[in-house]
Amino acid sequence: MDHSGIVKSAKELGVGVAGLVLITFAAVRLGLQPGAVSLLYLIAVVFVSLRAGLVSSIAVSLVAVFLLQYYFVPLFSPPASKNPLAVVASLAFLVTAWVISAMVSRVRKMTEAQVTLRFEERLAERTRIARELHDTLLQSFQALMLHFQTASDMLPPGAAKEALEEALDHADQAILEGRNAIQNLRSSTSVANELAQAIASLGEELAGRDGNSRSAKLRVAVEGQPHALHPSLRDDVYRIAREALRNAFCHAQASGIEAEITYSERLLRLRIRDNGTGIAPGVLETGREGHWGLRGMRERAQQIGAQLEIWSQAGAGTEVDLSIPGSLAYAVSSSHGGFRIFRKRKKAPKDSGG
Amino acid sequence: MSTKPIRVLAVDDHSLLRDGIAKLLAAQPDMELVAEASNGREAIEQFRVHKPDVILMDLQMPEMNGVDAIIAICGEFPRARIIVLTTYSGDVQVLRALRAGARGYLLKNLLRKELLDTIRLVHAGQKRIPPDVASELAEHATDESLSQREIEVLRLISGGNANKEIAAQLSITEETVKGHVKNILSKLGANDRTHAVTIGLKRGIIDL
Repeated sequence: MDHSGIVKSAKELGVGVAGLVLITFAAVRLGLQPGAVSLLYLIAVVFVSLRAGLVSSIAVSLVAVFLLQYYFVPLFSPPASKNPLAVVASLAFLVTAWVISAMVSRVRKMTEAQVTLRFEERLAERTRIARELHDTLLQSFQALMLHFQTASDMLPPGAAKEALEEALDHADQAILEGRNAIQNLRSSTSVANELAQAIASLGEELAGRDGNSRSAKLRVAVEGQPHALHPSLRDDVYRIAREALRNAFCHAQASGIEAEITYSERLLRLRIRDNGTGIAPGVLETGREGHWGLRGMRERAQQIGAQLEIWSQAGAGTEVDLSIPGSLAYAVSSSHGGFRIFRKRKKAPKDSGG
Repeated sequence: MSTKPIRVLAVDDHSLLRDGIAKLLAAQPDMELVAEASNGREAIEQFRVHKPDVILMDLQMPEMNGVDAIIAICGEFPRARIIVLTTYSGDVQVLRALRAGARGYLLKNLLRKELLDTIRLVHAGQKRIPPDVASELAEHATDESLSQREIEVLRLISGGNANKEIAAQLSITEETVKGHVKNILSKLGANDRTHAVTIGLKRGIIDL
């Protein structure tokens, strides 16, 4: 056991024993029955064995047995250590505690497995959709373009031909966007944990979209220790960021765009602001949201329990502010649950395999 | 221009696309579509029968893919002139096709504007690679390429598998997988696994 392991065990042990002493103290003051006290001990021991390592759980259980025997079961007139009944009672106590903790941890593991399974199903589904879209829709459109071209070639020069050619050029663009969207759908299914990285590459893609040099520059800033996002809302956060960036790049005519990600225990906050034309107040408030995709962003935010604020003023740019409570936003490490004092926040795994 | 039309074989698993090519070629006096095939195996058979001047070859097809068909055809007929038609422009995929013996490379979104010229150029003995594809090739020309195993690992990563699952599927230890992942990240210049998958898809190292 390394140094930090010892410190951790000592901490767990300390907290566990302190809990037991507290219960004992309260029990003595309130004059609780031994039965009630053993129940409280039982709960405490179960808690400890669920959260803490093996060594500290055993130690705390033994302390509980000791306290139980010497403070609350002097009913057995011979000394507890020589009283078979007391020994049996202690053993029963220990076994019950361990059985309960084993059951609880089993149930918890099953729930975790279910969440993982649901996520994997979503992932498989997305992959399937991407492949399907690629194989059917995209390929068919590409083929149809050839048919249209043939028809256009048959037309004599004139307004009709020009109109058709122009429409075809737009269609080319649309298909290209569709192709990129499909590719993104596919790559966002993978272990997309680095939000900053995802946003930066989104920015690159959006900036390179029309291949012009006057495209805005995106700066990505990260504050705090990056955490892995919870799989169930990772894609939604990504989509909201994407829409906000798309607005900034494509509609706002901005020259500078900033994305700021703040990781704190309490909150995950993502702010994207630009210095562009801004969204007209009417569009921002009323339903006429058209191509800004504001409604979609709001709906997504609501679905995942996030707060979304959009500030904008004509000529003064736009700021999109997404904040998600930390309890929802972050992936919880798998070995420990939500019992705060024992929980050690794991660092966002960069390369630990999802 | 010679009076004999250029004889073309179109290979693609989408009949609508083959139809489109047929219509486009039918309007050209100097071209003739002599046969169609919907996968690599059929392509080889049709090639043997018709000996076309130019083959238009899709890459992702069922049964036998485009690259394997190109290798087979060029092995038998080194002078075959093959133009690859594909949706994606990843440099690794391009390189694979060119190494196999393709003479031209055309993205499907450019078909309607550039197909005819490309057919004529390649038929005349030239190689034809679009500028943006060429620049992508140049950009990665000196990169170290991924080993077969690393490509396999990358494909499994893209399926959302964790290291443990990858190890189980490939019957290797998790430590070995970690080593592969490390190499993949460094060879691709990726910051993390997702980034590696994105690069892999973009460069055609793994398929969609």
